Amino acid sequence: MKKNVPPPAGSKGRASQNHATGVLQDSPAPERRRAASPTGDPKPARQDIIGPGLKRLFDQVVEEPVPPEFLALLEQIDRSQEK
Amino acid sequence: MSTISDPSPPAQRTKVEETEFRRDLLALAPFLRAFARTLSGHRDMADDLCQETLAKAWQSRASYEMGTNLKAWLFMILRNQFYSEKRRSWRTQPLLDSDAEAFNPRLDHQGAILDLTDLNRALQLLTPEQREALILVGAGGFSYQEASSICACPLGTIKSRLARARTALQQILDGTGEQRLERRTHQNDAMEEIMTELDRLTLRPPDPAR
Repeated sequence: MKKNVPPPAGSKGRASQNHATGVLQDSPAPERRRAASPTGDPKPARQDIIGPGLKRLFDQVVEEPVPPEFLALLEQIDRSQEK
Repeated sequence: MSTISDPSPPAQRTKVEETEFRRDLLALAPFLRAFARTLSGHRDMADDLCQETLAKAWQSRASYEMGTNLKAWLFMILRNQFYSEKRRSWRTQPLLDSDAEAFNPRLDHQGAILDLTDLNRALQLLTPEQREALILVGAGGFSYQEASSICACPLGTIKSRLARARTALQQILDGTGEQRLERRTHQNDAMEEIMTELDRLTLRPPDPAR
């Protein structure tokens, strides 16, 4: 038979035991918090803005009109296809 | 400009498929440009690279399996082209101001200022392998698996390159890494030269011959 052993003092386990009933109870999950910046600055951390920055860098070029040389090259492809 | 040296279409493709393939090439050209630009850091070099990729893709269209990921296939060709160019005659020029100006710095939508010119410069300080992993997954929308196929390396390698790239980029931008952004402009350099020369003239002891 399994004995109800009281948890050692200072135990940081997620489950705590109700010694009156012997039932294991889940302790509430600690609230996840974002690490505060050392300066207490509410601005997002650098790593949070690098991703969107990279995406914008990429998208800026995607949004540029395709140079006429590219279209000429593809027209050349078409012509070569017709021959 | 690139030319098409092999005009004969593969026999197994129909005319409609050929037209669709050409249309898809054109539709993906902007993404190829973006990949080439961020990979090379040079506008003109990137456009040359992109045109060569389109020409190569057309020449090799028989090897492309219809219905598979054309974007990944094109990116793979561009990447191979980039590295073979680099091996052949890579000019290790620093990023020019004119190249960096191709990206317009804007205010970040989250309220923090992230200068895209700085970001682009920092990107160029990464190794090409780290840079491509970051661009493919972080900006190009590819999965780790797709990026590993494009880069012809194991999945774990892509993940570790990506992690190192993110750390390095952050350190560069924060000025805490081994590599730092060179923020001095030519104008600053000229002004500094003038001031140094002025200091030298001011501090010079009087010429006893005069």
